[in-house]
Amino acid sequence: MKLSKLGFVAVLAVVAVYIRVIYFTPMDALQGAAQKILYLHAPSAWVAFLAFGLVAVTSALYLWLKDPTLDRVAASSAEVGLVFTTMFLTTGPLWARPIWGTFWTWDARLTLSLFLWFIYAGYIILRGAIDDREMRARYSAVLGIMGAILVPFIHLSVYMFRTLHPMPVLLKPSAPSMPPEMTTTLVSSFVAFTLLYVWLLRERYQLAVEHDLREETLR
Amino acid sequence: MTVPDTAYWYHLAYGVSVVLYGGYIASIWWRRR
Repeated sequence: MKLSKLGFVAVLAVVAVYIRVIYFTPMDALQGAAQKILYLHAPSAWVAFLAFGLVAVTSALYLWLKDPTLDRVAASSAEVGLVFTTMFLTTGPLWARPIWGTFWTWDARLTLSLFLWFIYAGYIILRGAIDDREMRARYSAVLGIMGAILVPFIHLSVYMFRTLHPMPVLLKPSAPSMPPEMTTTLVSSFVAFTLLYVWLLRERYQLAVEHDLREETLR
Repeated sequence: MTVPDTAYWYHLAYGVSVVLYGGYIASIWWRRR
């Protein structure tokens, strides 16, 4: 795997965001340095939701058109989305420990997010368990669509249920609830992690194409 | 008012992110080599 132009830009953007977070973003007066975990946690969650959204769209299109390209995109996006879900499920507790005093609480948002992780981990296990390509694509398309139904519930869960988790600071109808320096860092991190997702998705898709070609020649 | 010292958790989270994302990039590279 060679580093493509997109890969170079994506990695550079993420490095630039890390530098901006460390050296050029002010410290929160109440939480101290731990608040800077936001710039990892929130964009990772956004990318995970974007990835699972794409899984749902491509899976639904697969069930309609039966084009194996759509199945490969769904499988690739699900795997990359699972990595980003692992990221926000790891950074969340690391942020919660010093601020809430506990790593975890079984409230709606956290529990549903963990449930989302298990659904897409199951999706990958399911794909590995079925040899027939058409059956594998069809079954996983159904699971991929079902899993993504959770995404809007997770986003809205902080409004619907009592929770320790804070409300969105950026992805909401009103203006961002942060000072401009912090908002700029947060927006940059959303852009950088989205670029990282697009690059990883493209590389993972290539891997899926190579895998299918190998499978074809072995038949 | 003093700002709480939570730098340990911040460093840990960023360290974990480098390992996780770096590890995933390495895994794609390994599978495609």
